[in-house]
Amino acid sequence: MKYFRFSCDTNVLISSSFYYHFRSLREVFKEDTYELSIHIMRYFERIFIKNGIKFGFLTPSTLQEINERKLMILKRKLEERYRKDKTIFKTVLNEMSAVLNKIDDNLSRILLIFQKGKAYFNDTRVKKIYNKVEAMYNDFIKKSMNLNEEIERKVANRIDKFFTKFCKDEENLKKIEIDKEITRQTQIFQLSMPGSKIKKKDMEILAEVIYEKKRCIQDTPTFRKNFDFYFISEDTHFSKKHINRFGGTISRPITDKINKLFGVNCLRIREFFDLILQQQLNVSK
Amino acid sequence: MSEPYISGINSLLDRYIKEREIGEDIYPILDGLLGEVEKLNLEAYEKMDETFLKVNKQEDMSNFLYFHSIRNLRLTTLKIIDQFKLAKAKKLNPVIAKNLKKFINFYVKFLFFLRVIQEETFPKIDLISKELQKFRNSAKKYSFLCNTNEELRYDKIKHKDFRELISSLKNIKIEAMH
Repeated sequence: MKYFRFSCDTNVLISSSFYYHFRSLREVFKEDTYELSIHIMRYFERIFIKNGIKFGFLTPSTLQEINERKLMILKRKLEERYRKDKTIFKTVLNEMSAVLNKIDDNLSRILLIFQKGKAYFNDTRVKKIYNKVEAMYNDFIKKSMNLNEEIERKVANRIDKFFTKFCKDEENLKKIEIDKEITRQTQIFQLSMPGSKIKKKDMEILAEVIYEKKRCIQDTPTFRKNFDFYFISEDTHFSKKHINRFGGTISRPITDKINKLFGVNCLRIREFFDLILQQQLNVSK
Repeated sequence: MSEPYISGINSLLDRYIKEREIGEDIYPILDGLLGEVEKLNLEAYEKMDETFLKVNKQEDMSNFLYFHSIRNLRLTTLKIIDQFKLAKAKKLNPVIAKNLKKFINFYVKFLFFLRVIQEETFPKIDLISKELQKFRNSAKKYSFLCNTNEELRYDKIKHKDFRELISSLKNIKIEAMH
């Protein structure tokens, strides 16, 4: 079985730390993906207590982003309540501060299972990787501009060549095939959609993760050619997207490219959880 | 309030440890500290009240984090005072004096840090978060960190209101903010 290490995106840390359990009322406030992400965190916590091994890495940019992200979420709530009733602002501030303390307590327990990465963005080695990551995304963005025409051309060629003689309704078939291909390219299309564009910070995080993966191999020669590095993220510009069309379609061109170019396997919380469940991770070393 | 102040408290605590009994002279010092922290807390609130939603998102988050840090300092001060009273009643005097002796350096450093950072204009979310975490870790180590129930009690927050707030957080789609 291959050796492995993993890293998490900010959204995974957020989803595993935003919860609150009322002992008296058995009510739980939690995020949608909480159950899976907290299972992952507790699993590696148990391994760390038992064997003293930290399989997780967090990059400096992720750690920096988490501080802002949790404040941003609470600020939105604060804003909502401020607009509703300004007279109780001080009480609301105290309440929000109590929530933040609880979230921080949850988070500090989670962070114990991670090693702090050494990939500082100012390091020229990380910057070199960043330039490659940026170039890759720029290519995808450029591709997304003309993707519709390209898909139509591709599908038309395919259908004209092979299927026209068997299919009576050529136009309908073309339309379905085009839709299927568009769905398969969702990851790329989303890059040029307003609100879904990849941020510089995300590319920085990916560059740092790639650097950490390289460092793992350099530090432990036995990992060479026998090593997987996972990056858990719920962002579509990293991890493949499942779409419930045409009986379930997966869009993964960017995920595949990252894996091919940099050897980092981006996956969603559910996928990593499944690896644990199916005992596909070598947790001995 | 710096080195002489810490050494003043320390010599008092040394005396308590040696005599195995807490005197009354610690309370004016702790009350003085509490007064200072409450003043800072009020200033932080007033700044937040004046500027909230008027400058920019970053400034609002930074001010909230600052208010949150001062509040933590205030809650810890209240807990220290209560712990002293409780220790006296339970005759655990030397333990609490020893704990405060170890903790007071973290406390005063954090207070100074917050005073200094208040005037700074550079982005400070990361810096305050780190220092706050250090402060909370050491407060936890020496049993001066409030749990949620104590927080609610000190700030007179009703459990019902707090529960409602927590429940309403479910409606914020965190996924959408990623």
